[in-house]
Amino acid sequence: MNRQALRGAAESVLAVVLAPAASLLVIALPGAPIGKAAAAMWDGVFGSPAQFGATLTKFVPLVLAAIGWVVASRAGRLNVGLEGQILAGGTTAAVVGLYLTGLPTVLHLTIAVLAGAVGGALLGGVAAWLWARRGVNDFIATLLLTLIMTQVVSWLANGPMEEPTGTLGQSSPVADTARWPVLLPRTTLRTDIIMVIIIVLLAAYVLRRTVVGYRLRLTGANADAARATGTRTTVVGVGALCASAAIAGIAGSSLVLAAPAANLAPGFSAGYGFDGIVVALLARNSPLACIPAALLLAALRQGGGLLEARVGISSGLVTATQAVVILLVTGTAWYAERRRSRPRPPGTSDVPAPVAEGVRS
Amino acid sequence: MSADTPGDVPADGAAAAALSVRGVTKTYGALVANDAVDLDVRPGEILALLGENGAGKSTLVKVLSGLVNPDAGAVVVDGRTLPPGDPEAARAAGVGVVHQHFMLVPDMTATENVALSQGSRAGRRFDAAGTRARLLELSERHSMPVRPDVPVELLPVGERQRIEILKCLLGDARVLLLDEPSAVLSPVEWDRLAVVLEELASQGLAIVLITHKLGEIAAVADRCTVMRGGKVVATVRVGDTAPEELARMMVGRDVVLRTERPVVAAGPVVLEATGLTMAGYRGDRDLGPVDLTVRAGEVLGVAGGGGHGPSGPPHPPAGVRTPTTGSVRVTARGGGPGRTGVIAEDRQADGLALPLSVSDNLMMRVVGDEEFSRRGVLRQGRIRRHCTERVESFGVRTAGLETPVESLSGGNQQKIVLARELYGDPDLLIAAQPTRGLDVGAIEFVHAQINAHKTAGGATVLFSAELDEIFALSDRIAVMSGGRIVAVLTADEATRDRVGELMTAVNGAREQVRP
Repeated sequence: MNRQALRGAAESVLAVVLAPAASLLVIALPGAPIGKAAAAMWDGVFGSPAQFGATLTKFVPLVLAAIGWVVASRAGRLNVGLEGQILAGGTTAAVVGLYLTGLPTVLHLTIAVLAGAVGGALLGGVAAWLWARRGVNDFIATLLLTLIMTQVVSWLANGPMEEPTGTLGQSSPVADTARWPVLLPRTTLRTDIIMVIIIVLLAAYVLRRTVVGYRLRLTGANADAARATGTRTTVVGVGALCASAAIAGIAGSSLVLAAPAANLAPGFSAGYGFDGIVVALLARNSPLACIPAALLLAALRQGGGLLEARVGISSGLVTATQAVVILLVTGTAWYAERRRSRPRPPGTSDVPAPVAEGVRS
Repeated sequence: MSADTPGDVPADGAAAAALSVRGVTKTYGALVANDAVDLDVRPGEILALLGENGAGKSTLVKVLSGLVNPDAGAVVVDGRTLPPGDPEAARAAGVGVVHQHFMLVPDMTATENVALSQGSRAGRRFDAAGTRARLLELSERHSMPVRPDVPVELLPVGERQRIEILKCLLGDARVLLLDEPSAVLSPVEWDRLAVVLEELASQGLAIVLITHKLGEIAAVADRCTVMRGGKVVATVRVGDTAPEELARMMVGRDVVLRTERPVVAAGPVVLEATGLTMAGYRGDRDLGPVDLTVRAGEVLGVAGGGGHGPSGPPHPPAGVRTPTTGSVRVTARGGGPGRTGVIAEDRQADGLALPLSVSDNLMMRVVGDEEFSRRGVLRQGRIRRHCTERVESFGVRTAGLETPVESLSGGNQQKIVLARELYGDPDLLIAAQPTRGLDVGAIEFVHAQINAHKTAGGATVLFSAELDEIFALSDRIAVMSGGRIVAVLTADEATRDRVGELMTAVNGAREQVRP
């Protein structure tokens, strides 16, 4: 077990090292100066406090989406609609931030964040209901609801919630009392990162150390066995989907309440919901490992931005480097998974099981 | 006994052998799976290859079929040495293998599966009609009925196995290797297969029957090669060797083949099930109506099931499936609702969460109890102590409590199920195929546990496809046929013939009625 964990860690480290190298290679192919590109990427991530702050700002929704994925997939549910739940959570948070005024900061912010969680959970709850009561595949349900939610946000931002001039296609900023305080001055990093770390730790604790977490892992590992031994697996599945969606909703609330513009604009989720799945894959569904994995992806997103600005590489190529990294990361994860759990019918194992039977003599 | 030295009964010279194995050695890291294995099979002979799980039988099969490249040694077919690690060459030389887990494409028909195995030279046309005709012809000649045009996944297991055998025969196999062929068959199906195998051997085919069941060897094999710990222990003539002796060679110690059935005075009624009916499931027949009554200190064996492999009635008392109609009442010995433990028929599908740890798997039923969790938080220390105790008292061989269950052997996995389900003396134990796929040592253990549960005053319902197991453990035997209980016999009344008759009688009658 320990050796396995160690090997898993080694593979992750390898992915972390290979990822930037691979993106540099993609950049070098059309002849861009590789040294300059590397420097730009480094500067993009660590070059200044502002850059590093921006990296950590991107880290926040990434790690939350990843935790959302982990919670659902540990229970055997595939919540690919994190993106939509981010949009839903951001929307409800924005509603509370815009229209519920006159409250002190602590209260207003808390309510707005909770509203985000509820908004995400409501959208996830629809998928969960469809899955539990109507037998709709959770993968399909969550994905399609995302498409709907994208249009809903677009309509809200251009219609009912648009700022007073009605020209910008986005809402006014939320009240100051609903915004996260700045953590590092002159950066975009706000205090929500502290909440995020707490959520990660909490998720790890719940999964490992509580009855609820146990039942969730059990259901994900073998729902039939779980049901036969007294776990209500449908309840677990619905709960896991809703919790997963609520966490994505909190990510959405941060994307509104901790953003410089602090308003509702179409497409504010910016693909974080999908990248979060990649983070979770890289982290092998371990909540704590989501932290370094999300840092890596946040750095690539942030470093890629400066690459475009400074080396003049087209944005398409920057996206391509990210795709290479994602493929690399999922490839490593898949490879590791395949090696670890190749189905081994009893008596036919070609890798000797650590404990053999019948050696008593 | 003279049979203790390897190769006591040689085939009549290596030249006559259809298949010879010479000094095959294969190691995986520190584990020596095959250690200088020698083996000969003559044409027209059925050779049993006997050994416990992990004795190296399956590795040897893989070497023979070219799936695994041995470290040393050679495989000789009809005097020609096979190139190692080349499945295509092994097939072409006439080595046909029926693996324990069938190598059939589920959504293809028998014809398509057979055609698929007939080589894959580019540009060659797929001759569906010809393949189908040859398949049917062989099927008729060897009285192995198969439906050529139905997707294999819809066929019962026994029929799939026949397709596998026909696939080998169509490939002009001269040596047929069958890896645990009876594991998926009901006793009746096995008897039929045994007849077919004997007939094939009489036509000159060399057959290697890989098994760990002694009864099968006595029934069909001429000679038996026993393996233990990767080595060939002995090769003996089956007629000259007592089963006890074979068991001793296989396990390496004396084995109690027949456990003494303890007699316990029957107590109050624990399980009372009335009028159970249920629609067929996973290819099973429709069930019922069925009535069952089991008392404390009693083992009720249920023999017989559908034609789709062994299948007793489902396990409604355990809440695994809900019956369509009928009621189930489990009463504790002291009154009040009773507790039930279940040994699931398919332990990997219904009994264990394979990726999770030994400790997680032991906690399934009790995790919510006050003893092991407080306000929803697990009590780590108590859980560790509990699991350590369970692992020790059931002799589970594991590297640790955090080891994933999937890396344990079948016997150890079953011990974990027993350790969990027998915890806290359940009033009722439902044991479905409790020893399927286990080797002799583990079977002995499981039987001892069931008897211990009975002696402690628990009630047991035992479903088993192994009639010997039913006879060894049961106080009363309920015989099922066509989804109903056709008779309940006491242990004294029940004989193998009587039960076998009852199991098939109604089936036969029904089949005649069917248009």
